Amino acid sequence: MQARRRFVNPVWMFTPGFLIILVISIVPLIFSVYISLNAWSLAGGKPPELNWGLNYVWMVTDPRFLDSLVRLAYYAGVGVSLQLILGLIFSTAIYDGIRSARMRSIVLTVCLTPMLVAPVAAGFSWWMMDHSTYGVINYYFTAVGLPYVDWLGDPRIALTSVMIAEIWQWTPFMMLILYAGRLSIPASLYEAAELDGARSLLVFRRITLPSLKKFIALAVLLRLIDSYKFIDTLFIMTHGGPGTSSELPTLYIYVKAFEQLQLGRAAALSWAITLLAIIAGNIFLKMQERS
Amino acid sequence: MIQKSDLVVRLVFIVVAAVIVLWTLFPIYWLAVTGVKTQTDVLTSPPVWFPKPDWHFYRDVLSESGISQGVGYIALRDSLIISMGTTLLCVILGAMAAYVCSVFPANVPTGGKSMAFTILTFRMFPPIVPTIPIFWLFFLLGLLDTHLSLIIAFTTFNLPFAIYMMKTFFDDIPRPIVDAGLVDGYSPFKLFWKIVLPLAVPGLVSVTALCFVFAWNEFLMSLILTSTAVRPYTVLLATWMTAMEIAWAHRAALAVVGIIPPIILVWILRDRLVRGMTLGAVR
Repeated sequence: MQARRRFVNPVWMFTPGFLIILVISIVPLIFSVYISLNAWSLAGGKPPELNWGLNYVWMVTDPRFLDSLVRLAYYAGVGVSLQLILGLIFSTAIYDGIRSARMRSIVLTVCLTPMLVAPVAAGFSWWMMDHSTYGVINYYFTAVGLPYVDWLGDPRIALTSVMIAEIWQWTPFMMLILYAGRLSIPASLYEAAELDGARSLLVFRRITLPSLKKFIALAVLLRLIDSYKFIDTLFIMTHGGPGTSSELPTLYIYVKAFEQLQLGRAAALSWAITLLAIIAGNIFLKMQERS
Repeated sequence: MIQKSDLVVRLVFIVVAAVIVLWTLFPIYWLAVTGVKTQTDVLTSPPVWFPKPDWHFYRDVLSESGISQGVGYIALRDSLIISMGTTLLCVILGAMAAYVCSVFPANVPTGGKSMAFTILTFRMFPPIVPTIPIFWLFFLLGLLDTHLSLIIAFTTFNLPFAIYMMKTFFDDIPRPIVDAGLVDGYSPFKLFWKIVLPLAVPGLVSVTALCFVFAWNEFLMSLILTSTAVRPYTVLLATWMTAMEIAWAHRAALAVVGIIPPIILVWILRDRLVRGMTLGAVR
């Protein structure tokens, strides 16, 4: 058998895909490192000029970038936590609250819909609802006596409004993983608890939550990875505004590269957030292994 | 036997489930209903919940001519061309590469298992990182603002995903079946075509659907790599203006048309898609 395998080497079937990835992923990535080491502005019409690490030095002193990182920490930390809590509530309510399996499958699929919607479309819907004059949310807020909130126009609130749209769109993802995790818990654990007459909340805390730990960690990691890439909804809802009050790093890089046309600095920034994400991801995984 | 407290808990669960469904569907309902409103109904207070449907925005978005000169139609067509091209490329090349990784790991550099994982890490890069150099490279090659540019760019991200996912499906095929084919003297390609691929059809279908949805919904690269000749619907959605004003109803109608294909695909395939959407973490 071994001889026959060598006879027709199947590697030709692997090669085209591999080559494409090599050419269109790795070449641009290497080129990107090179760009990041140049002073290169498309606006001046000057050719790129090597300045080695200067872009990286500049970045550390750029308040706009540092502010966007702080915002990312808030956005990812609070946003992902809320997605987790809601996802837990969603999956538990659907799993325990609906008896008929058919109905459960339907409700589950309905609840998955937001993650299929293009993020721009979701952002547009929330932009309409949050609109300062014609928004449906404010209309009902003031109608029932709640204060008027300028969701997208108030610098203190804009990022949170975007976060709410993001929570709407991605809580289903949390729910999906947690629901699948819930399915994997053996029913015998619950039967034993029922025999002992344990109350629902206690069962949830002592059986459900510990068994879900692995799934929670996975879902949180995947969502964290996504949140530093996040741009679509933000782009359409506030474009980082008012001012730069809701600007996250990815949007800042976009603005740097394609509005201010400073490719060198933008490339350096893009590597900075990639490295930060890799470091953060590794710390998270280490913590996970330890516990 | 049912305790009273359990009954209360169950009631709470049902109410919560109802609230969840409402919260989930409202923004989509609001998009859909804005698209059938007349211009005056859109910008009015109190908000109109159940307008007398006026379909002309939907018709405008879907027709080749019309008041907006078919920009919506052209954008949807561009999205379709790009998504289908990407999907075709990713599924064909991805299935073949994944097959070699799964069945002949020894023939793949660094071994099939770690290869598939290495490939996957490319997906973890924020898209903005490769997009900056790709923009410049495509500019030099004169590829900007073409369908091909987006097909190539999307393949960067979807092909690693397709390889990784297809491999998990091929790995599920019982090894004796594959070995039986080898003993019978099948060539690697014949084995792939006659035995492995037919057994992995469900997986193949869901990878195809997800590749399509990813490409269909993509925004950032589309925005950067296209301008006037080609404009996918997500870009139009974010930039559509009429007479200096944001085209509320046009955009809403376009958004609704745009979200229908992914929703249909997923409703049909819902039981098979979970693994793909969670990157193989949940089987």
